[in-house]
Amino acid sequence: MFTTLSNTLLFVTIRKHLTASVIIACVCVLSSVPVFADDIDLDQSSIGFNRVSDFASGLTGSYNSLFLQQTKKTNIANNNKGSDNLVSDQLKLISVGFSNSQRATGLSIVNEADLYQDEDEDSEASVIGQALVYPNPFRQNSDFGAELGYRLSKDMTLQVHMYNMFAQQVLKRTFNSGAEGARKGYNKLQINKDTFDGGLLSAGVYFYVLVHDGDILTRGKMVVKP
Amino acid sequence: MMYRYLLLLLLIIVPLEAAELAEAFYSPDLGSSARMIRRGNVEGFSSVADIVFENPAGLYRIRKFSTSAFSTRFMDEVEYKSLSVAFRLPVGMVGIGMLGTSVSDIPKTFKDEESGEFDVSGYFNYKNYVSKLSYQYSTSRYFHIGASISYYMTDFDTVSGRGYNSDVGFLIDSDALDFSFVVKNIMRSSQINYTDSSGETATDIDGNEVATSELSSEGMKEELPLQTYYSLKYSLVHFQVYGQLKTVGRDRKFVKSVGLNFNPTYLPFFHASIGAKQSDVMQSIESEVGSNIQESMSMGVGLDLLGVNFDYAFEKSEHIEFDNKHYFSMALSF
Repeated sequence: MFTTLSNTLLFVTIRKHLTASVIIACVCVLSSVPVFADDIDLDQSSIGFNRVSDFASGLTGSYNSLFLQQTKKTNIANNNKGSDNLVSDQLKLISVGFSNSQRATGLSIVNEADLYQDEDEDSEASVIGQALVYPNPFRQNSDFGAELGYRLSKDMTLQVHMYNMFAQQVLKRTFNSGAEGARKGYNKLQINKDTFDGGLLSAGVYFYVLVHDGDILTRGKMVVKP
Repeated sequence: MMYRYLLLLLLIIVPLEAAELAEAFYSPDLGSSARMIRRGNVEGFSSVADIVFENPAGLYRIRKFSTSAFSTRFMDEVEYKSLSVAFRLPVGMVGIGMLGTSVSDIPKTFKDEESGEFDVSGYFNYKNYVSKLSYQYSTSRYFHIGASISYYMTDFDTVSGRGYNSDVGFLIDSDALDFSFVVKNIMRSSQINYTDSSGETATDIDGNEVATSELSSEGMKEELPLQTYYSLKYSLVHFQVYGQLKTVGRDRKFVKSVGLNFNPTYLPFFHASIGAKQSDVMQSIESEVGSNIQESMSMGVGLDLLGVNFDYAFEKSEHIEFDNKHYFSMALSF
């Protein structure tokens, strides 16, 4: 994966030091070796550099989407019962370029390059794609019930509201940032007979809304079968 | 005379004796007209055809013919529509009404086995209709009885539900004070029977395939909830005061409604109302789970122009996004 990293760059932004950038880009393409990142420690979400530091200073790389695509399952009736399963990993390199480093005067050789990582706080809180219930329609009166699945752009405090066809609220859950149900990546909340302590919803359509800081991120609808 | 008191006794005792066993069928009891909703959903005192949804005994207020239409939309998704007609026959008043609820473009989903994520495979619609055929007979100027046969049907995706039941009610009409009593879904053995043609499968959290019987609604039943309504109307010069007690749910909870209507004698065509009502809702709010009584207020205005009625009602909603409900209804009577 890492040997092809240089070929998967989506955007390269050259801000300054055009000459140095061109040289580095040529070296990168011709050698087809990992120039910008030699190793990636997924656990620590960091990128290590060494080869590029032989060519330029003031290089600043940034990425917005380095994440593990994880499947989080949370029992909506009891958050402590959830389990995590790692499904796959994924890397998206958004931008790499040169920062306005005072140390850099043209092309020079230094030992370290400055790499910064965009913090989650800088990205917009959103639900990527649709929040969907599977299966839909579903029987609440079963052990399985259904799951509400949604992908979050980052860890965030999240509320799930659910309403019946009269716009009366039937369910509300609040998940703290980073907790199950409110983590960056794909989250799943289970809805079954335990959700209402054994009580069953009437067959019909129910509407859910995902809310962060009072802003509605997305909404959807599901149907309960008898 | 004796049979009348026996009937009264029966109607009042039956609700207390009844026990609910199965899950309650969704019954669109949000109201049958904007007029009724702006008065706090107090039922039994409509003077147009939509009374078939409230208390069939109230059909006596229609002279020859009446028709009524009602429409609203909730959360930009749920369409409510009703249409009713009532006319006088030599043997009494007859009313017919249909109240429908529909939601369109509901996503049918599947699970991507590789990613574990959900995606849309198609869309389906949800429809729920209640039809009523009512008959009313007056034993005197003050006492009126009525009965309705109700037919329920619901369809969505591969699921269909059908059932029928009946309502029985009476009304005592004096000059200043009216009393309405109605029992809805009085046939306790009659339930909604479901069929489900789906043969789909699903996988649970651990990746195991879920038995089709766990997913299918074939042969399932839902109970038609027994409901009793005790309503009063008191008229005082320019005002009419309304009050209602209604029993709902498994534990026969009482929910209350009150309403006040302003109909000045110097503007007989103008009505302005305000009302408050309670609703029993099963909720799971954070760690609190249970059946809760919620309160809401409504208000609105109406015009009665030579037998043509226009009514509007407004109600606050607790929905985080669509927090206002608007209702419109129109009726023609002569």
